[in-house]
Amino acid sequence: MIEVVDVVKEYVTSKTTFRALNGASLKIGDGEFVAITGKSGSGKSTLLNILGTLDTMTSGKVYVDGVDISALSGKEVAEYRNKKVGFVFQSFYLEPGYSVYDNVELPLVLAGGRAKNNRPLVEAALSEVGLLSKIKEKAVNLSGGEQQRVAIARAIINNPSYILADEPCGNLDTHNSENIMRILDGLHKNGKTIVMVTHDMEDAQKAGRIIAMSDGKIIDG
Amino acid sequence: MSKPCGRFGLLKIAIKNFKTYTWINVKMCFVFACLTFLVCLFTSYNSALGTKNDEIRRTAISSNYVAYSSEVNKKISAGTTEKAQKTFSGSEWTEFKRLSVAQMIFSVTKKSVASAMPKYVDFTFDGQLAEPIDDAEKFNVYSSAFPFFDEDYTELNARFGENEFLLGRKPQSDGEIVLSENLLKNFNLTRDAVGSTVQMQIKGASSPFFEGKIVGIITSNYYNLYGHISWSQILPVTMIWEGSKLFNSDSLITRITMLDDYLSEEAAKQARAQGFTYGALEIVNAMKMLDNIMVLGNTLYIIIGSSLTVGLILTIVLMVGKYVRIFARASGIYMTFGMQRSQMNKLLILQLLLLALVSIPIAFILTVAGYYVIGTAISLVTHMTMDTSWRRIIAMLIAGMSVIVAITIIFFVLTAAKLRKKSIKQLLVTNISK
Repeated sequence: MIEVVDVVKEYVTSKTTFRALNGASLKIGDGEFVAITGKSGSGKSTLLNILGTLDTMTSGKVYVDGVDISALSGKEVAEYRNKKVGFVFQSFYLEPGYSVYDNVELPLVLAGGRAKNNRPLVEAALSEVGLLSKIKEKAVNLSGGEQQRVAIARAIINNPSYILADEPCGNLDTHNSENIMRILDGLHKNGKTIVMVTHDMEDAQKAGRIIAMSDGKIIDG
Repeated sequence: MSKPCGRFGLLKIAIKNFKTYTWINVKMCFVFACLTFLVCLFTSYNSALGTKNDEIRRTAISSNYVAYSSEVNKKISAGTTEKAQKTFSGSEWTEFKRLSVAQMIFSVTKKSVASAMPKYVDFTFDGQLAEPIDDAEKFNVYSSAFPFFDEDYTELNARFGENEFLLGRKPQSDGEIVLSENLLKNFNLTRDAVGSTVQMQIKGASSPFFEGKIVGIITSNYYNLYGHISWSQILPVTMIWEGSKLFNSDSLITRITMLDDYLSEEAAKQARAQGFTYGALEIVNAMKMLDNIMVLGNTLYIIIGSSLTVGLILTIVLMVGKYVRIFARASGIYMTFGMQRSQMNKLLILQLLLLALVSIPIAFILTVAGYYVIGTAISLVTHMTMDTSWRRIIAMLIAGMSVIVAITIIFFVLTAAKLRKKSIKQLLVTNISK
């Protein structure tokens, strides 16, 4: 379960202070498929980054399974990102020069897994996203939809409880978007908690719950 | 939970990244190596100039040493004149081929008129003498014993009138000799020697020697000895004349200035004051020329070397910028999926170590090959010898490695400082296409 309590995030520059999150609070239950929507600058991606510990909050608390993630040590927070959550980004953030296998294996390597044990896990994850045949391809040679499926395989390789997806279909055409949403739905059905940020209401409708944000606050959901 | 990303995991990622970003890594290695090569070459070049300078200075000292008559070891005992023969080692003096016989000791094979006139010869250390002819462009080569100069009694009469005699008379029969006052002094004899019999023995030689009765003393700037019939043999002794060539041309050879005499220190000073050139002064000129070469060479080196170095540094800055951006973005991805921030620094160290490891052999090959090529070119043009010993090369390699290690450390410090305060999100969105 994720619990966000009065989270504030300010970006301070030499001239101005911009408040991206302005006391956001929400709860996401285990096994939920949540879509966070809102206009550009509403703070939805910032909230997702804070949930994933990719960014720090100015104030407030975030509890994941009852643990205050802002209080985690460097090692613990690394383990949290490695094991507890899986990330999917709009820009995929694959290593373009790596093979599909290497990209998907990365969280396993970072988890200290042995290479010979990694292969079946990687193959299973790639099978789940339908890309086993591309295992030796370089990521840079794949289409956008394929790259996003690799990113999903990478996100689920360590069997995390939570999938945090930031505009996963933002760079994809309709066909590939539907494909990705189908995969995310499949993960949800397998028990994963999915938190997806999107500005596309059609994609949001496919989630079980829609949370609307505006000016750094939760306004609905 | 298992320990996240052990050191082998980081090494695996570092190696994978090295292979993945081959092109920029190879370019980085090559630029590191080029910079190392420039540093090595610069130090070697300066070392070669310094060595040459020292060599010529040593030569100058040697030349001065033998140029001054007071330094020549002379021994005289009752009735016997023995002048030390200075010996030279061919290996020691390979650069200094030219010896002057101006300061030669001579022996008379027959009781005769003999004179040692100042001449320059090419002494090849195998007993041969060569006399420069046609403005020293060619040489007549003689064996060690050759008729060098003959002057019969008639010529003696023509050259020296009665008033030239300080004491005594001209030789009138075999076994009678006249000596120049200079020679007399050189043998530490006084004018009282007139009437006595002297024996001249060449040190180290069983023969020839000369024995004669001094019947007269003449004024002469030369170290002359006249007998009744001229028939002499010369042996080069202590005087050395600098023939070191800085360039591969005969310019210095043809500029041989003949010494008039066995210059005393005082006489050498006077000659120099009057614009005359003698052996040591030639070396001074050579040193001035070397100084000019050094100034010219250093200027060229500074211009070319600085341009190359600045170019390389700019290239390094650009490539390091690109490298840092790639690393930043990759680090963002790694940290998103479980790498600790402290491990990012370790990964950077591993990647830079790999860069350094690949750079060092490239630097070694470039340095050795370039050193030989440039060293050969320099020695062909200037006669400067760059030390191509393994000791030197190993020293250069160590210097090169130090440069690479220093660059790597600077690289690490700058990169780590640049990435330290960035959030994972900021690292992730790093634009690597700039």
